[in-house]
Amino acid sequence: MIRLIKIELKKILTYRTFWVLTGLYFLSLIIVLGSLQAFLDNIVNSSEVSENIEIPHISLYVFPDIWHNLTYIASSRYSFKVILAIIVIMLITNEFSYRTIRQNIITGLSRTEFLFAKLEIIVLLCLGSTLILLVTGLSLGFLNTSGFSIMEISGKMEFLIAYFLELLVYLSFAMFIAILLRKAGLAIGLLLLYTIMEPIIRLSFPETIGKYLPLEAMNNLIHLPNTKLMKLMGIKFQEFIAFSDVVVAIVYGFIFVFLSWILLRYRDI
Amino acid sequence: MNELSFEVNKGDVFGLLGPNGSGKTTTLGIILGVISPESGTYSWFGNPPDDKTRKKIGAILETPQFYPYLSGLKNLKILADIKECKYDDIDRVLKIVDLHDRKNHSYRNYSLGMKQRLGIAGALLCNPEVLILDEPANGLDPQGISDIRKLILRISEEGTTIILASHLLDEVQKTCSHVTILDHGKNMYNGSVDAILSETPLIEISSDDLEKLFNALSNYTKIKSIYQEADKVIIMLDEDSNSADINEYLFNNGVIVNHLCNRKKTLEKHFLQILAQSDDKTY
Repeated sequence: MIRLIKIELKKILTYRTFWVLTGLYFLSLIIVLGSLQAFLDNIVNSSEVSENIEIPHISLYVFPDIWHNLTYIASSRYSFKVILAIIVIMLITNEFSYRTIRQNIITGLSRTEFLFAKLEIIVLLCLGSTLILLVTGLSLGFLNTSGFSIMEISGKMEFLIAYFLELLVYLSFAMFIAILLRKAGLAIGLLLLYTIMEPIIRLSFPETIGKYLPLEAMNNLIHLPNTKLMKLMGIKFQEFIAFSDVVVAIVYGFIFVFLSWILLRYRDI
Repeated sequence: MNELSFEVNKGDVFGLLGPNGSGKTTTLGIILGVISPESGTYSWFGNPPDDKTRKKIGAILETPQFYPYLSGLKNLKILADIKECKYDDIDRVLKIVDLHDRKNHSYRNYSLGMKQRLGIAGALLCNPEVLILDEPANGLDPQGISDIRKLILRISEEGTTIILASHLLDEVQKTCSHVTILDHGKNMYNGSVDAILSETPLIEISSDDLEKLFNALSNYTKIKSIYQEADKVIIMLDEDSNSADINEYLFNNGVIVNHLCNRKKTLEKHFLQILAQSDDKTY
């Protein structure tokens, strides 16, 4: 296990494209999360409603809700996750394009080890992202809350774990697409196309099935967070993480990894 | 592939010979576990194939594949990690292929010859028991080809088994102990190189008066076969006669030769002969 991650790290630690993309991801994540409050205030202030009604100041960065808020934004299917997915796809399709996967296997890596090595990188990316979220959350939280206890701070931290899981399953999906198509352009294209198409496909299925489509299931882990603003607008929100959602996500994770393994095992390299 | 079967013994230098597209790389791909055969089996060191056995094998398949954005040294470190052996060996193999000075340059900046040499270095890493080289002379200049030949001979003396795929018949002849000739995936010949080369040699003779030469030779009793080729006459002698006898006979019959030499049977002739036979069969 350790040997595999050492090999993978050697491959990417001096790979400039990787660092540029990863840096971009983390930077944009921090910046956007930090400016959420200002963004929200802007909307509230510029809407005409606030002139007539006293809208309570909603702080997104209050412990413990901050965890839910931050993870909700960070796991939005149309934004940051996609950059990570592109990174994963790039790392894997590079091995096919340069045919280094063939050299790796000839030299003595087994196909299963290859898959595990890539999975380990994915886990590292998820850990890194979750860590960034943790640090950002703690910083913003301390800056914006007065009087806190351990209970309050860690109140909704389970959302961080849900975030980690969601990212993990999502990136396994990206890995599967990369191994399936073996070309970066095609894989990224399919990923983006599917992301856009899934809501549309969902409409043609009854709700009971539709909510189990992969991206939806993953996204379901973290729903719209509960804020008083949302209450005002009467939108449904999520108070806690549903166990069934977790199970579905984990099952999808296993499916993607298993399918990837099958593809690797039985195709010519 | 068409019902190919062969066996390589420890210490052999085994050549896989054949024209382009005959299945050499496919065969090597199958025994290295990257291509799946539709039917048939293979075994390594007497055991059915296992992922771990490849760690004892050093190989290049087709062209070497390395990470272009990494240096030669880093690429070799990755290979050493996969093989689970120490980095100490890397300097040694780099010196052998004469890439030690360029080890920190990006692979993408290497010339074709350097890329090939790095591939060979990677195959040599960690002293494998078996070396598999697919067209190792690809992209090398004559000096490089000669170096590789010397390297192969030296390594085989140390006891490493070598499987070589090539279409450079001359090289195969100089280095291999056994050879399999492939054509369209079919095994056309399988045997030792010595067996081919030790066939009775031919003698080529030329004279200013070819007709007189030909007639004189036709009357010589100890000849197995005779034919004319361009400006020479080619004969195959009986076992108990040699070129000195022919020289004496011709001189005594008034024929002055201006060219007399033994033509050793070469692999090339044998190879082309075999291919010609297979062509006849297909037509």
